[in-house]
Amino acid sequence: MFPTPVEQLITELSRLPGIGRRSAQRIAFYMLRRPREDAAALAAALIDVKDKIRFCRQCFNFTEEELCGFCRDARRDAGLICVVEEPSDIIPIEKGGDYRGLYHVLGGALSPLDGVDPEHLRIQELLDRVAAGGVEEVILATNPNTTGESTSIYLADLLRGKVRVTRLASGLPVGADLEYADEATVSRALLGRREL
Amino acid sequence: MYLRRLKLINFRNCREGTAEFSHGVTIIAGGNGAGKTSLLEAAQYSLCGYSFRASREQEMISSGAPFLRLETATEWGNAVLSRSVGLEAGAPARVDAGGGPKWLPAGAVLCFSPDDLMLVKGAPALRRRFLDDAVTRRLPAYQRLVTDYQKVLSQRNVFLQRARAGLVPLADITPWDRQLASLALQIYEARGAHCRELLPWFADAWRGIAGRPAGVDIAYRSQLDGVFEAAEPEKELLCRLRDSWSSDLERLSSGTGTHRDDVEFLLEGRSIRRFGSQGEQRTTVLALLLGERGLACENGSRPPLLLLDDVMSELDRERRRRLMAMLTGAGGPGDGFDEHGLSRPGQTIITAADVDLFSTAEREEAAIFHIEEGLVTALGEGVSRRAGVHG
Repeated sequence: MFPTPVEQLITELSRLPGIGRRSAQRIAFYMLRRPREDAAALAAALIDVKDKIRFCRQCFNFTEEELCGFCRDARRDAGLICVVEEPSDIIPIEKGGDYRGLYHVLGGALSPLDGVDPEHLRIQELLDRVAAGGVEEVILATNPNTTGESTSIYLADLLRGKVRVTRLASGLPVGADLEYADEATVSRALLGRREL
Repeated sequence: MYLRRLKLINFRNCREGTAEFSHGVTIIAGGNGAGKTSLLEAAQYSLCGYSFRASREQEMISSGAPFLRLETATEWGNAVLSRSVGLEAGAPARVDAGGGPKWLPAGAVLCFSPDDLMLVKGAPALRRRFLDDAVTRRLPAYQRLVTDYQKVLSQRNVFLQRARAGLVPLADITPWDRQLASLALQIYEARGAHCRELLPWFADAWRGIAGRPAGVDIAYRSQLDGVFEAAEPEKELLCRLRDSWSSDLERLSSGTGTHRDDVEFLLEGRSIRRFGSQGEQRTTVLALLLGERGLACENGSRPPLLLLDDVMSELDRERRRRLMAMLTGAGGPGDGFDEHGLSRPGQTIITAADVDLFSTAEREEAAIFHIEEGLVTALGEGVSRRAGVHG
């Protein structure tokens, strides 16, 4: 329908997550209207991110260097490791501002349905970090759904006896009304209630 | 929740019609093919978003019409909500809930059609579904347990395939076993507790309809039976799961858990499914619906709306009389009274081919209307007092 280069761009764009064919067309036509420098800047940024960004050797977060910013930061507590599924999970924890330890990014969660087995996650790397010593506590911060829960159970079994293992609590969102909380969350919050 | 009015446009053989319902019993009378069942279906679809007889939504649209539309007025406490559901070919239903929930939760409308004998005679999955809907009506959080259980079960079954293909060691199944065990225990407790609470209401309703003393029982059967007798139920269940590893691996499916649960209804200790007569099986299903409604009234949840399709013709005169008495709340043992001494049996819509199936007194109690060729007309004394119908 369109000249081949346009078709090609649309096809490439529609492979991106959350972008359907129609959105891909909009973006393609937008890029066609923009000056050449804009396209070059976007292309350069895409190449840059592939060339310069890699996984942190220690925690597998994204980084430009050998080690990520958290692992390089000597002020952070190296005795604490917070295990998350994806690099994006680090953002909310950092925004919380209370956590001063290091991270470990698994790269997903156990899910036979999606063909994800323990060997596909960075589990051995986590065990190696713990075995290397100096780690006092591993905080399991995988998602509170069935796959995240399985991953945490699997890790806890492997780490038990070697290091203190904890799991993030499930409960009510702070600042929200009890009235609007969903039933499952309230049930979990009741189970996890604590003495005041 | 009371369904006060239902307007149908292009619904099956009804081009346009409005029915108004009584707070108690509404009788829809009409010959075969007049559209009685369609009216019940329209009530269910407009409130719940599914139909007890349509396999595809589209088939409810009148032939030749581009769309269907259902408008309802429902009472919630003191508020009257207007809602509308529109459906056209090839598009999902459009719902204007008028400030209420988009669809009522499962179990808010209980439907009995002649096919529902399957609840007694059919596969265990139907009884689990009925039980789960009933528990969810009381404990909304329960729904989450059931969906999570299903997810964990599918993951575990796929895990078995991967283990048999040699991709993963079988022992790595433990995380799924642990979640399955924790969820299964909660489901088992909730289902068991519900059966125990339902039993007196079910038994009352059964005796009420049958008109004779009868020793009926609800036997909830699960592979988890006996697990709570162990000192640590979760450990005990994990052991049972582990014991089934090798057979699970062979069949590539999980043999242990609440997904194999069943409920057996017993009359004098004998299975009604296997030994009961048609009449006893029918009585059992009706007693289940009435029992659920009685229990719902007692524990303060909203009594479900009962839609009874053509049940009267299958019952003898005495059973009809007793069923009607229970539905209208006239001394029915299964129906509660509120603190003001007012009967609150909940709302029932019932279809019948012939109004003569009902006694004069019963017709007085109920709102009756007649339906023919999809056209609804008012009939009888009760109508003018309690409800009106316009063709």
